[in-house]
Amino acid sequence: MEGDQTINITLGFLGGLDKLVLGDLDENQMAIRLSSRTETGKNVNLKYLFKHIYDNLLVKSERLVPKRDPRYDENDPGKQLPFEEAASVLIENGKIRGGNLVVINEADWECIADDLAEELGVEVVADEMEISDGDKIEFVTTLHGG
Amino acid sequence: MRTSLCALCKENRSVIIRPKDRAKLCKLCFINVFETEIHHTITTNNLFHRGEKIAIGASGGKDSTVLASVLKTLNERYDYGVELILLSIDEGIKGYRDDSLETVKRNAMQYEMPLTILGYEELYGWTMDQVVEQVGKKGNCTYCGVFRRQALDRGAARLGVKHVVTGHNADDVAETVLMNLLRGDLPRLSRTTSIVTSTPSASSDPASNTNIKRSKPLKYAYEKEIVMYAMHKKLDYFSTECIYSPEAFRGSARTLIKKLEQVRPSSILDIVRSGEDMAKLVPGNDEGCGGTCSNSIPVADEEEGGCGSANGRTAGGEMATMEQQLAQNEVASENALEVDLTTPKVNGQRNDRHNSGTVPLPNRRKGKKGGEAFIPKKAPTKQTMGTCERCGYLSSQKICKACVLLEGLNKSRPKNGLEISYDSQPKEESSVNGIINGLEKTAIAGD
Repeated sequence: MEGDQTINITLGFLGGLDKLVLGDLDENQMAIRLSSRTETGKNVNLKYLFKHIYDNLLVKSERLVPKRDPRYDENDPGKQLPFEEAASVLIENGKIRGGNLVVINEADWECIADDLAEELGVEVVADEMEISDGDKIEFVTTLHGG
Repeated sequence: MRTSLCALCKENRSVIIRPKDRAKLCKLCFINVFETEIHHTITTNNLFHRGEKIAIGASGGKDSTVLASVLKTLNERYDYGVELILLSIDEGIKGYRDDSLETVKRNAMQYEMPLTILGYEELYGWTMDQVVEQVGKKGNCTYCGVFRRQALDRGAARLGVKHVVTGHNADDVAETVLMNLLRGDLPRLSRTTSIVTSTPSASSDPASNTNIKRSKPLKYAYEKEIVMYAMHKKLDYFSTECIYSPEAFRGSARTLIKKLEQVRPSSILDIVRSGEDMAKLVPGNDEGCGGTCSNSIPVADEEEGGCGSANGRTAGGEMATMEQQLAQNEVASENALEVDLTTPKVNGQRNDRHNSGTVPLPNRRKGKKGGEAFIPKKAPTKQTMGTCERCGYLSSQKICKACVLLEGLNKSRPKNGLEISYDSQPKEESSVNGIINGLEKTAIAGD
């Protein structure tokens, strides 16, 4: 089937997200393969990627399993953070939470969205920008440390 | 995807859109503009003077790492003639600060700056891990913040340094402005918005730890740009959040400003500017003179800036509570608060927009007419500063905050030691002695 075509992209997690998403791996990036079309036949966009990350990477993150987090009391369910809340450090209700930067092929996604808006003459929702084969998409949190 | 060309060099592909003015710049121009703006902040505020020895409060995190890198670059490029050193505070948090201090050690080598590390244990006889064991995770940030502020001053005094720069950025300042606004604490708001604060000396001894100047060269730099700068310059910084829960209230304020930034990126600097303008309206604040008076350096605040590691992770309930408070504030403002601010001469504009300069508000305490309805809970009197009777640190109270906190901790320590086991008792005793010794030591150093 034509719809079965895939694209290869590289994901990077920086600024503390590396440990959160990828655990104690030395690498802060990973290659993934995505179907090039959504179930409804559209080209995959960032929103689709965020859902993919949430459903496939964040749920597997040991750091996001509340029990593993030293802050929370293993014996006290009241002191454990629900997964949705822990994951909201990066993705909340399907959107990137404020304070995280998305960098696509070394350019700020807000900059790319603005370029696209200028080109098309319409407002562009950054989440709906399509991704293509070979893209490198990095997530950087600004929230940690100081 | 189409990419635009840099608005400055018109040659390279733009990679960042600046939050403050939506200008799209290439990597090189961005790095250049970012550094130049900090240079302007330093020169227009006369932050440094030639021959000065300056300690950079270094945590190994993005802000202080970027600060160290930029200051080194600028000191060489513009020949400030200042001597830069790194000062780190070891709060004693295993798995967090010990790791981040490794980053600071690498930074010291990378930037060829001498590094001094000073521990809470040495200064106060308590590590944060021990404090948390004692007081729990709730409220521990208060201890950490109060201790850290003094620790930086004490470290600077030991090194014979009169000036400490910290990595507080525009987002941090906006957060603090919001928090103080929501708490109704205008005097503190006015102190914390200032780019330079000081702990004026009560003694003439140059080694006194109560005479340290503090400044925030990154005060007008967006956190987003700091991170972008670190990324493009491939700086080595530590980025694990503190393992103890962040202060909930600061977290909520942080979440709020990040949400505002998403909708309107200029909000952050606008809040900082609003904070500065409001500071001018606080009675008794020297900044009312437009910053031209001498001795207009506000007194530093013990809670200034928080710890910056609050990651905004809050339960939904906290946000709701804050929103409720917001609603209450709104009601309050409808009832009375606005009365006082309708003075026709109020010039809320910034000096650079109106060359006439600001017209100081009549002092609220004297010139109150119809404004009787508005009586703030805490009278906005200027703090009178003395020194702590115990440790000699600058304090508006008889006993400084750190000593009050330590007293509470020390009182309950032996009791706990007994409850746990006999084995731990001698260790506990030696720790108590350690505190006394530590305090005496610092008192000597501070006198």
